[in-house]
Amino acid sequence: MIPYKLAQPRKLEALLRKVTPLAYGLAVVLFGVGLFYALVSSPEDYQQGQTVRIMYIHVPASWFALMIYGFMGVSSASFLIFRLPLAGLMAQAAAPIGATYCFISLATGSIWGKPMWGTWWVWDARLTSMLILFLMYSGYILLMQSIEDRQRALKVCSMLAVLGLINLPIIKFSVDWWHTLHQPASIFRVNGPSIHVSMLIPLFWMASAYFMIFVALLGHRLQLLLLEMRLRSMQIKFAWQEA
Amino acid sequence: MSHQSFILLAYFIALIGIVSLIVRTFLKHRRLSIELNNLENLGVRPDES
Repeated sequence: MIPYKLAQPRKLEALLRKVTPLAYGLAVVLFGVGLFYALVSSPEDYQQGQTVRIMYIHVPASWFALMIYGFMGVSSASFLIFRLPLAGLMAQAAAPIGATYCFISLATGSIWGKPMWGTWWVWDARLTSMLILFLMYSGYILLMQSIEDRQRALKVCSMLAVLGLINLPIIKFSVDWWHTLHQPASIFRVNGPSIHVSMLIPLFWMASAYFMIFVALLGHRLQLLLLEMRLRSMQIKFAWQEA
Repeated sequence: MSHQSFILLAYFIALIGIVSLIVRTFLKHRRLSIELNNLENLGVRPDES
């Protein structure tokens, strides 16, 4: 049974050691292709001009900031309900990646907003709920670092991650529920995407690159957490030997 | 600021964010591996479970 084998730290570590370098390599290729399409090959927008190119780095960062939090929430719930230690570790490994993507989304959105809206920031529903998502990520990471007992830290942080799931539908539908400066959804819509295919292609490449970076970093950070656990048990063993 | 400057700034921030996370991950991996080696050199063996 493959899933059972992967639940064993040694087996999982061996698999991660093989998969992570491949994922890093693929991420570099995808990012290179994505940058070419985004900065060179794609056309400019009839209204926004060249500034539309910020979309290719901003939109996938926002998608994955939300998806990674969803992944963290589901993993944390699995940890709390089914007592799966690996699920808790996966949420812990994903948190800094999601926080970085969320920061990129906020920063690039702000840079896009200045020439388009005439302001760096407005307290509208979409921007504020995204900022709350960033605060949830930061809270999770800080709480994890501040509690000494690892099991307790994982339990408390998992509760926080599950609680934060409430924010995801608020972010997604904020542009429909409230009158916002941020534009409504233009890709994931009932009637299909409202942007031209020449702009969908670079978006697809950049989204694939963001996804592969997430996979590579998740694998790498999971390895680090398993290594940290092994190191802690060895330090205890060493302390016992010395005593 | 010209539109080109806004585009460059956005891509620069995104790249710095991603690259710094990758570099920090590699540095932490190296630090933990050194600590693990030191303990192994002192004769401490990891649990095989």
